[in-house]
Amino acid sequence: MIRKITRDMILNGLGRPVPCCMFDITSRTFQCDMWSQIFDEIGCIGYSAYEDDKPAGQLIFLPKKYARRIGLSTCPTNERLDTTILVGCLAISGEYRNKGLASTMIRELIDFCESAGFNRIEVGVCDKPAGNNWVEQISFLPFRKFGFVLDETARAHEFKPEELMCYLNL
Amino acid sequence: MKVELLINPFCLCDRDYAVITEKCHKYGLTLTTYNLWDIDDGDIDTLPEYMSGLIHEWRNGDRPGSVYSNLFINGDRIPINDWPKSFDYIEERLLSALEQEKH
Repeated sequence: MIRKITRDMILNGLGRPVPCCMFDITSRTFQCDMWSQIFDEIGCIGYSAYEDDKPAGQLIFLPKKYARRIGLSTCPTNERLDTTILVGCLAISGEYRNKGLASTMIRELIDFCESAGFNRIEVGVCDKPAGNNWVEQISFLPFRKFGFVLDETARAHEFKPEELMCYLNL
Repeated sequence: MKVELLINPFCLCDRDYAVITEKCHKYGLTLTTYNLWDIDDGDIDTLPEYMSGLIHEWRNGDRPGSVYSNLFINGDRIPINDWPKSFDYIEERLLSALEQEKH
């Protein structure tokens, strides 16, 4: 099951331990303003996936103008900052992989972008299956199915030269 | 001695802030924080040059970025990109800077 992340989840976390710093922490000094402001502006920051009511994964995104503001990697050649969404996190816990959860969340994201006036999605990815670490790298594989293409000229991570940006124009 | 944390608020910053604060407290150091979310473009050049240059490059898309926060010890950048090892390295660098100050 996929649920849209709510404002309450942004402010209070998921209320249970999950292997992600964004939602398992109890004390948040710096993030809350940003995510709640973005939520209020565009109406969504991502989705949580559940299996048997247990958190199984998440997809988190934000407008490119804010991704640039906080120093995330984006495609350097596209300056449509207001109408581009950057996916900053796509993670599925190992035991829940290969059940279509990532694809379902990407489909939700595309639908959201089309309805909210965003015409491009960018993601920093590695061109191999996701590793064991829950949130370290985003795999290109689930995005490729939806027509995303790699931008071979755009590095996606300051410290991981093997990661590239990919994008989908809507 | 100048210890500054440039916070990337995407996901890991509160964890990093808590650990760095504890280390600074342990050695009696003052930690200054800057949150990228709160820095307007017009204010970037009021920051120390070693920080402002980076921020300009990230915001222009000239430098690949990351979700990590960065610590600066007397202007030297230490990205917190290898948890938890980065904190051991930071502690070494803090001790080394304190030692240098004594001499």
